[in-house]
Amino acid sequence: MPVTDNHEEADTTELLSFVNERVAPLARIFAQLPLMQLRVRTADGMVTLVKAAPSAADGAKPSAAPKSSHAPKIQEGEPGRAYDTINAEAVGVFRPAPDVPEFGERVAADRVLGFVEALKLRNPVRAGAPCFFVAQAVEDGQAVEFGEVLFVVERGDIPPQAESAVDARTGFVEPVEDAVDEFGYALEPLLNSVDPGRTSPPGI
Amino acid sequence: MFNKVLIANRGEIALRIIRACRELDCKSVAIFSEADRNSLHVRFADEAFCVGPGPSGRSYLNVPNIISAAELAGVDAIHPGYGFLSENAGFAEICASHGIKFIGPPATAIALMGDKASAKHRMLEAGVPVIPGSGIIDSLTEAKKFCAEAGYPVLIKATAGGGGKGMRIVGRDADLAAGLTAAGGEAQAAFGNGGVYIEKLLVRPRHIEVQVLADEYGHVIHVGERDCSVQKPSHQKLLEEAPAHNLDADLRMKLYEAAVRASRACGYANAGTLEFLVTEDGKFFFMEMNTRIQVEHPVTEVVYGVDLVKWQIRIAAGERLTRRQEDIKPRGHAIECRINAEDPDKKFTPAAGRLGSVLMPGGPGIRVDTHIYTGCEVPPYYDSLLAKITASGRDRNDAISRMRRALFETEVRGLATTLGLHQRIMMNPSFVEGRTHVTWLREELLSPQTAAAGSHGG
Repeated sequence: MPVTDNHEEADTTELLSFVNERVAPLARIFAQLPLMQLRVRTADGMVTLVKAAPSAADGAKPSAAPKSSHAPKIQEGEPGRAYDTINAEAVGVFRPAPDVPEFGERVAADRVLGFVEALKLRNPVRAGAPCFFVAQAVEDGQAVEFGEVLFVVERGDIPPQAESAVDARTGFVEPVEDAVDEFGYALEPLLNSVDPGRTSPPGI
Repeated sequence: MFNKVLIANRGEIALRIIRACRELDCKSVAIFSEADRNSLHVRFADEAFCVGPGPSGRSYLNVPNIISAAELAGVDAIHPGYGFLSENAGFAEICASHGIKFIGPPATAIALMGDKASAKHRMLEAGVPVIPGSGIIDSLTEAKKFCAEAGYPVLIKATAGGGGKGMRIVGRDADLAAGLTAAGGEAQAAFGNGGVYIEKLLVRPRHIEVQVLADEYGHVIHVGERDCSVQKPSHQKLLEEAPAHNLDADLRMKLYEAAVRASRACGYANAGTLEFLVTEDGKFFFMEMNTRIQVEHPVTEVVYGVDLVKWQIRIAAGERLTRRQEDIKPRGHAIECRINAEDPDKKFTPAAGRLGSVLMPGGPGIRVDTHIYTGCEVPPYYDSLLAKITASGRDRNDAISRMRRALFETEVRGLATTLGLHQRIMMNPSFVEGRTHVTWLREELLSPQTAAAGSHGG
């Protein structure tokens, strides 16, 4: 990096290189994740990525009922889909269970994760199969239609934070502040490959 | 007028209702299955809710999800279209219990006319001639007794039936037992009700039906008749006309009068259709009442200048029917051809898949009701109707000329359709002379193979 006495210019250059070298690769991975927000914290700082609300080009028209901008649109067979989802069977208003699991928590098949209220009935939304909890995809009080993604889970045998980070299957998930260290560790190989400031050899 | 109406249907009829809503300045809410996500009714409506997966039992018949969508959207009324929940008295009651107006007749009228036995009974009481028939058959002895009195051939029908399912023609005593078993089994499988009855089978009758409109204040009018004699071997209609040609003026008046009397007798309101069979010697018999809008309503709309779907909505919203009987006069003649995704050479087997190029006709006197477009997907779960082409003219010959021209312009690629069959019908001399009856198509035009499907009741 050329030496300059203009601090402002130096800051801008640093910011640009940060965006190009650090954010761009993250954004590419994030784009493939069925998540609407992603916060990555490393020793160098933190970046939060937020996806825009699904556009009309997604096919189905949003209903007039208020919808959260968090609602991820996941199509079957979408490339890069890394998580399983629990979708709404009933049309109604979503309510989370009082004890929504923590990120990475093991969830039994019959565990009630939330409800879809319809016609004065609370239809329980169950995990359906044993899984690890990843995230809640809709907000309390949101109107949901059939098939709408309510929860993101990991159906495999391995908890979401345990495996390699580079395959993007780790939980770069906004609500899990307490797992930051683990994320920082998991992200290292990726960051190393793009961060010239690091001493570790690239590609690990 | 309603603020917002939910359309509990799909395909061309959903579009038809959405169009009526828009013209009435009323917001429309579509429901759709996952298989219909890219369907035009989803695009044309003001709002849309996915209510279930492809199979209609879990989507277009999913009452809890449909009512919940109606509540979320805050609609005043639900239009059921035809098929699906349109003649389901229970659904009409559920709508009412949620403070949603069902756009159709009172649930009591649906229930009464939906049960063929009770409908017939009420018509007899009202002095409307009905086809001689038995009660629900409990034993072979009972069946034999009826057949001896009425004379063969007879038709075994399911009490809960429709669409030709659970029907068998029997020509002699020896075949009666087998016919009863087959029809009962089919009815049980299709409708969950194996009850059957026997009717005298009329030989080569015409199917003539009368459209009625009634408001909720007792004003009932008829909107003329339709001839729907061109039917598939399964007794499903393929082509309809208004008015019926070569129909004796006296007989026509009797049909109208019977239709209005029948509607009054069941406490009817909204749009409905009385179906009659008319024999060559000028007798007519009540067959059934359809307590909903019919597929073939466009021919009536075109000839009588009455927007039936708008009237359905306006009547349900509590408006008075302002059209007087003396204003209802036919102008010219209209013919509707149903373009179905079915192969007429293979017993009308439905086809599903992606359509290639779709071109619909236009020009003077042509009306097209369709939901298909080039490259769209035709799901396997639903009715195979793709498009209704209606041609109108000063008289029947004029309408036929226009229909020939319209069918020439039409292109639907990628799936087998009934388009070619309609082209043959339009060129057929006995069709042009108007000599059609309910078995005409099978006898005159179909390959022996396809026609044979009919002798089993298809």
